[in-house]
Amino acid sequence: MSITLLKIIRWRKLALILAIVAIASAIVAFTACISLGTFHTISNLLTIDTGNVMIIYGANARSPQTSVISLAVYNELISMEGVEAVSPEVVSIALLPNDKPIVVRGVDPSSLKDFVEFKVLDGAFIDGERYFEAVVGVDASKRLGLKTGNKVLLRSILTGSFIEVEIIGVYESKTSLDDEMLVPLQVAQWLRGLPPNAVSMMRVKTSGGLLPRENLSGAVGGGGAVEGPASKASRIISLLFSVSPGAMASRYVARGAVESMQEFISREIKLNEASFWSIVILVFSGSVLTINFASTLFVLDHAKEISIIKSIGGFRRIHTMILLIVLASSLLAGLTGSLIGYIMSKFLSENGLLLVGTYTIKPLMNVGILLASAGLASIVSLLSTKTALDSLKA
Amino acid sequence: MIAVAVIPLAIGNAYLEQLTGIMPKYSYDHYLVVNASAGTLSESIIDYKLIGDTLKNKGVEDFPQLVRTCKVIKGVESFKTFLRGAYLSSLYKFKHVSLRGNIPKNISEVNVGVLLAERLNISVNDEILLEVDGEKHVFRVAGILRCNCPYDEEVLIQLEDVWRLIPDLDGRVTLIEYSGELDGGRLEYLGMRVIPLQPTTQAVTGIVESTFNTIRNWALAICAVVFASSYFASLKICVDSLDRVASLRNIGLSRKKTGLFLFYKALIASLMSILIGISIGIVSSQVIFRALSLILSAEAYRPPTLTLSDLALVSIVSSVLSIIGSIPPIVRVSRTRA
Repeated sequence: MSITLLKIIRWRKLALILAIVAIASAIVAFTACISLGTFHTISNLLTIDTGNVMIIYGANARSPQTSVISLAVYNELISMEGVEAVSPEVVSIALLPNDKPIVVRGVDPSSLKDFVEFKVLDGAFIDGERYFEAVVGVDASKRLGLKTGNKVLLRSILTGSFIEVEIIGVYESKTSLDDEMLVPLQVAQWLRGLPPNAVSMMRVKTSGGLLPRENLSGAVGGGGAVEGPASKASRIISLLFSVSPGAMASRYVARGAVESMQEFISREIKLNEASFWSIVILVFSGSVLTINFASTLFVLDHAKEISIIKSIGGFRRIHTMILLIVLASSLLAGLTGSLIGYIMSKFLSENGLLLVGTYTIKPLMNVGILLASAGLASIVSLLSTKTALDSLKA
Repeated sequence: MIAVAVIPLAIGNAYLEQLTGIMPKYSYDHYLVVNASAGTLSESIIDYKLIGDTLKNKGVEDFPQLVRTCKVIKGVESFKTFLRGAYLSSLYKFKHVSLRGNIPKNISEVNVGVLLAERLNISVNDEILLEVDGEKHVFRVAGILRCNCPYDEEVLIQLEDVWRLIPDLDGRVTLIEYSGELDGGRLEYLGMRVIPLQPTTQAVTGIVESTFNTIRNWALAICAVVFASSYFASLKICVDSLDRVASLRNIGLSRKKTGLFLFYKALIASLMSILIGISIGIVSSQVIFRALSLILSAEAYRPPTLTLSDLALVSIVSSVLSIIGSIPPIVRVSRTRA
C-alpha cells in the first residue's frame, strides 16, 4: 500500500513545492541574517563587548564618535586603581580621491593594542611616531581598493583640512575597525579640527568588578588632571602640546561599548531590535503565504488520486503518508534554503553591497536562526498541507 | 502581498528624500588644485606661472606650494619628512600659524615644525643639514612654527628659494590652495583637477545613498517573495476554476474561449490586486510612518512615496508573473476534450 501511495505522488510537482519552500526559507534567513547583522554591526562599532571595557565620552554628545573631551581625562583614568588600560581616540570622516567616504580614526597604537588584537595581513602597523603614515582595515582595503604603498589624499568632510598619507599596512581585527583607516592621533585631530588637547572618546579597560561604572564616571566627571604613571601618559602628552581651554564636555559618562551604541541608536537613529525584527516578520508573512499557496496547490493537484484512495478505505494512511513526505522534504528544503540565504547575505556583504554608513554589515548566522527559518518553513508547509487535505471531500 | 512590497520601498524613498532635504547645502570657497594626470599629490607638478596669470584679478587668493621629500639631519640623528616651499607670510596667515622666531629671509634660512623640532631637538638659530633630491644643503633655523597641522612635522622655505635650490622645478609647484569662488572650468581646461575642500554635503550624500541602497537590496528580498506569490496566486485562481471550465466545455465552449476565460480571469485579478495593493501599501506606509514619527518624536518627516520606476517594477513584474501563472491551467484546458 505504501509503495502504491508513493507512486501517486507527482514528484515533479513536489520538487516545485520544495523549491518554493527553499526560496522562502532562503529569503527569511537572508533577511534575518542582514537585520541581525545590521543591529550587531551598529552595536559593535566601538568594540566587541567584553564586559570590562567602558567608553568615556561627553555626557551631552550624540554618540561617543561625535563627542569632544579633554585629553587631560587620560591622566585621571590611568592613575585610577582598577584601570588596566586607556585608549584615547579621535574619530573623523574623510573623502578619498574617488570621493568615497572613510572613517579615519586617530589612535595611540600601543594603547589600542591593549583592547583590540590586530593581525597585520600586509606591510606593517603604524607606530604613532610618523605623521604621514596610515594603516587600513581589511574590509576597507577590499571595498575601496586601498593597498600597502598607496599614497592617498584624505579630505576632511568637516573642515578644509587635507593630508596625503602613505598606507604602510593592512590589518584585520575582526571588529568594525576593519572598515576604517587608523592614523596617529594628531592627524585625526587635524582632520576633525580639534585642538591637540582634545579627543573624541576613551576606551577604558577595568579589572573585573574592582571599578564599578559609577565610580569611573564619578571620578572623571569632576574634571581636573591628576599626574599619572609616567610611561604611556607622558609619551602621548609629549606628542601633543599646548593644553588650551576649548568647547569641550565638562561632564562625562562611562558606558559599556555596546550599551553606548545601542543608546545612540534608540535615542538618535530611532532604531531598535524590534524594528529590525518587524522587517523579518514582514518578509516571513509573505513567505508563509507563498508556502501556503504552494502546499495547497500540491494537494489540489493530487485531489483526484487522494479521493480514490480515500474511497477504498486508505484515508488515514494517505494523510499520514503525504504529511510525512511533506515534513521530511520541506525540512530538508528549508535547511538548504536557509544556508543559501546565509551564503547570499555573506556574498553581498563580501562584495560591499551591504553597508550601513561606511561600515560593512556582517551577516549574523547561528544554529538557532538556521533551525528557526528551516523549521518554520516546514511547519507552515505541513500545516498548509494538512488544512488542504482536511478540506478535500472524503 | 503587493502592499507588503510597496511599504518598505515607499518608506525607503521617504527617508532618502527626508535626509537629502535636511542636508545643509554648503557653497565651496576652499579648493585644492593639482595636476589632473598625477596619481597622487606628491606626483603632481603644475606650471604655476601659467596658472597664476590665468587667474589674476579673479577675486581669489592662491597659496602655491612645492612639496618635496627630504631628509633632515641634526648631529647624528636624521628624519625623513617633507620640504614645503611657499609664500610663507600669506600661507602662515591663512593657516593661522604661530611662529617662534622669524620667517626665512634668504635662501639659507628655513622654518621647522614644532614636532620635528622636538623630535630632533632643534632650536631657533640651530643649523640643520637637508638632503633634497640627492643634494645636501646647510640651513639655519629662523623659526619654529606650530599650527596643529601637518606643517608641524615639516621644513618650510620660501617658494623662490626652493626654486633656486631645485632649478629643474623653477616656476613649478605641487599644488595650489585657493580661497574664494573659483572658476574651475578654466583650470580643468588647462589639465588641472579642482578638488573642493570641506565636502560635507558630498560625503553625507554618499553615506546616505549607500545606506539607502542597502535598504533597497534588502527590499528586493521582500519583492521576490511577493512576485513568487503573484505567480502562485494566479495559478491557484486558475486551478480553482478548472471545474467550472470543464462545465463550460461540456456545454460547448471552445478551447480558445475557455483559455481566454482563464487568461482574463488571471489578468483582471492581477490588475485589481496591483491597484488595491499599491493603494493599501501607500496608505498603510503613510499611516505607519506618521505614527512612528509621532511616537519617536521626529520633528520633521516626509510622507512615503513611490517613484515611477518603483511603481513600474511592482506593477509590471507582478502582472507578468500573474499571467505566466495562468499559462499551465490554460495549456491543461486546451488539451482536454469536451
